[in-house]
Amino acid sequence: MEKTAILFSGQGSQYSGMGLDLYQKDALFHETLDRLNSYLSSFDLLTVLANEKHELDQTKFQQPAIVAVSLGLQAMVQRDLPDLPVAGLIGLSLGEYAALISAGAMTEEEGMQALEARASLMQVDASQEPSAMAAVLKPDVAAVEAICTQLAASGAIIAVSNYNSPKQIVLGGQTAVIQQAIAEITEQGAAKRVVELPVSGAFHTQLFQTASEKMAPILTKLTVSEPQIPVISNTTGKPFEKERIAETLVQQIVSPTHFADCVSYLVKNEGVEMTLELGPGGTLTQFVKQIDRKIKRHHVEDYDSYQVFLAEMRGN
Amino acid sequence: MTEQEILQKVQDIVVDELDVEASDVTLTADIKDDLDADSLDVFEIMNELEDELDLKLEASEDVRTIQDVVNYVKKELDAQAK
Repeated sequence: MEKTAILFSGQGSQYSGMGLDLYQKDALFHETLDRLNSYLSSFDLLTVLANEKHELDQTKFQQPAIVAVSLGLQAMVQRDLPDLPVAGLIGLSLGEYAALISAGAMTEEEGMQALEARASLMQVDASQEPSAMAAVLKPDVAAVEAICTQLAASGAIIAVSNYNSPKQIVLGGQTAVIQQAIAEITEQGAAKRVVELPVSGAFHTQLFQTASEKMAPILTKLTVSEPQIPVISNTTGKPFEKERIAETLVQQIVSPTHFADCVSYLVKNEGVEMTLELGPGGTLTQFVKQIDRKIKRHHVEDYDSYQVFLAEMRGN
Repeated sequence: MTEQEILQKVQDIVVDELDVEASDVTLTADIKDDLDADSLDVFEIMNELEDELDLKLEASEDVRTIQDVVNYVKKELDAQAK
């Protein structure tokens, strides 16, 4: 089997009923979700996954729900493929909590509780002022960054919030200035296309400064351990260091994510040849294809896709 | 380009972008509902078509099925030829 990086999904691809088929059909997934649910104090995970009242539209529910599904799948992979050579872990944004828990850098209980706090604080910031995000496709990165810098010079909040792949970066900021940026990018031809994203807030920008500050004391109190497997940080593009986990996660909320750099790091330094994304949507798998076509890609999000993946691995 | 050639091109790009089987990319397939694309995927497909066929395709065009894409590309190619 190829050296593998496990990827933990971020926000944006959640869907009603996600994980529930696994909860019905797999005892270990069931047990894992029940345990994770018991650590949450403000809501019931299974109610949120069922999404009957559109709970999954809100970041405060989305974040723990996505991480719980990813961790349930991770437990199954460990049970069924104990010899899978996992060389590194990457989570996108909130997915970093799943990655750090999987690597043993934080306990499930403390990790889920910190994530619940993060999600809830970010929900508050998201509703503070009108903000937006826009995907910039086939960008001239330097030109787009220059446009953001210029618009931010007047005091407006706008920045590149996600460096997802060479073909896609995302801008976040106040709605009015995002509109200006879209117009400017189009006029300068600094990208092939700019598309506004249907999100509830401009994540990974200064608009989440309050949440970031309030997370600092919570994260500093966590009991952290040396990661058993390298977890590559969105913020630094390098492995999380035990001593700086809290600090890096505080910064992460207001800093751009560098997913493409994280993948490249594992290819270059750990010889990763395959990725396995655990969680809804498969967006990270799409990015991997845009980053390096030579990497073999797998994505698992439900019972059926898991069976297909397992059969393929066991056939090798 | 004939309609058949355009379809072939569209199929190749869609298979590549969406990781679906070529046999699923039929003329009647709905790109979002049947092939599980999100709106960004649709734009990525448009970008690839633009680059490969040297065209300019508008994002606002109402494109749902593979047939819609083929028709739209054909219309733009015909306009270019005039």
